[in-house]
Amino acid sequence: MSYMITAECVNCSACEQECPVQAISAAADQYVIDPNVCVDCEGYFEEARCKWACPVNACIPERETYLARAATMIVKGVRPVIFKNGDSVGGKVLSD
Amino acid sequence: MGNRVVIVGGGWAGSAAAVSARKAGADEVILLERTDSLLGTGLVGGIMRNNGRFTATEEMFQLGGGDLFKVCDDNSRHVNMEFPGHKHASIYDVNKIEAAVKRCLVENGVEIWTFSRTTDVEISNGSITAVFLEGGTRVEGDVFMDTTGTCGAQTLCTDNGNGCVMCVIRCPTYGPRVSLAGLCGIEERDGRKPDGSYGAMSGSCKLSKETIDPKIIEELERTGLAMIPLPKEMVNESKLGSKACAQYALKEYAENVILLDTGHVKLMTPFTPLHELRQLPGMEEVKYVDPYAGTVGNSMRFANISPRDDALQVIGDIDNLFCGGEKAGLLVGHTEAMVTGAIGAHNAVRAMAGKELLKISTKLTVGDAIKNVREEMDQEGGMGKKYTFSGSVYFNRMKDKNLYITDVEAIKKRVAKAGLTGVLEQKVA
Repeated sequence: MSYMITAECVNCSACEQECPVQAISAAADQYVIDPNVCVDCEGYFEEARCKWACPVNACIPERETYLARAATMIVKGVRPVIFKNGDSVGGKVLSD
Repeated sequence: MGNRVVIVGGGWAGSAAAVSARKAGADEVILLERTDSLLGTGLVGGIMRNNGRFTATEEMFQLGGGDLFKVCDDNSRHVNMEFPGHKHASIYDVNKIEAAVKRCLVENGVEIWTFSRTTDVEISNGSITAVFLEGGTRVEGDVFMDTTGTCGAQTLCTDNGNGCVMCVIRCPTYGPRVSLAGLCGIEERDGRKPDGSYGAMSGSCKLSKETIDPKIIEELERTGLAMIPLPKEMVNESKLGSKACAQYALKEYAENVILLDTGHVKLMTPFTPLHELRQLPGMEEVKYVDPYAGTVGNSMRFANISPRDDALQVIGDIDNLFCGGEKAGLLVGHTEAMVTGAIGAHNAVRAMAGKELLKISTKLTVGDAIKNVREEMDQEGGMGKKYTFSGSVYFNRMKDKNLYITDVEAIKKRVAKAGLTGVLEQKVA
């Protein structure tokens, strides 16, 4: 997991200056976080430093973005369906 | 110690792996599939036994790993057909194959889980102990198999292809494929186009039979094949290099629209726009059924190829992970996926039982391909080539080394001589 910067970025460079592992750099249109360098500030700060520094809430956990923007059927509550010997053609929904 | 194999990814590789693991003696085999159905890209495929795939298929029957090849044979719409660059091909019915495979797996004692996308992994002392599904369900296992393929996520297609074309991989609905080896922190490699850019585009598209001239469909259903010459101004040979399947990079495919009867109509010419297809006689009202985007082509693939040895064990800091299908290298096709899936899973069970792993003799084409493709991918430019039993560089190698034979008795003898007859149906655990 890493943090990422959304298109809300206003190019203020606050995150770049605060990042403890130099994972953030300026790209063509906005600042970006290298996911291979970002450590989610683990061992450095309680809260991700970029998120803390960003004036427009553009620094967010990648996972959160993904879940918000690409909600799958599973996110919406669909459970695994299991097919095994003895079942008819259809499968059975896995119970909790 | 338990005896459970967990296979992540229910395409042809994972399905073949599941049957193979059961036959090798695994008490429990769980096959985790992200979507609602098995086979993934196999749902749009259909071509079997063409060129060197015939040899590979018959070798697999002799090795004892022919189960899913038999399902394909049993569900073939056409057998022993010829089309440009290809001999003795069979075409399975893409509308019937998935249910038939599901039945075969369940009858073999495999437990299939659909709507089960693996998103996390639990590792203890260098072994995977469990995977987690999106939604949090924990699935324990003793040995694991990565048959997650090399397509998706959507970003792979938006960054390197024509965007999400709403293909059969169906990332928006089920979430993107997640590499199991990648979750374990194993460094993987990506395939290249001939021009060096990232990935390759699958060119497989399907058209609706109801929208094509009945005379063309009659020929198609009788012979399996229809070839419609393209007007000169529509011929575009530059498209050929961008397609994943190098065996179709022949000028016949640039100069004709080639149609195969897979149940739907499989379009062998790379992604021709709808308005161009409709200029052809008999195709004035044609409609794409797959991918939904039609016109612009198909999914990107060849991301995240795992480093592996010739027993299909993934090389890295994990000791109980095997791979098959495109994860195992640029060995492209349904046949190829079934071969590596079945052999990889057999070895997964051997590893679980503490037995020596099986590297198939290079006197057989399946053994030679597994070794050769691994070696070739390490060569300069090797990641830009595609390897398949059915054409291009590897089929040439098969012919050069006399590995390509179609005499079933001779193949039987060859496998017997290598001492491998029935090896994949012997219980090793």
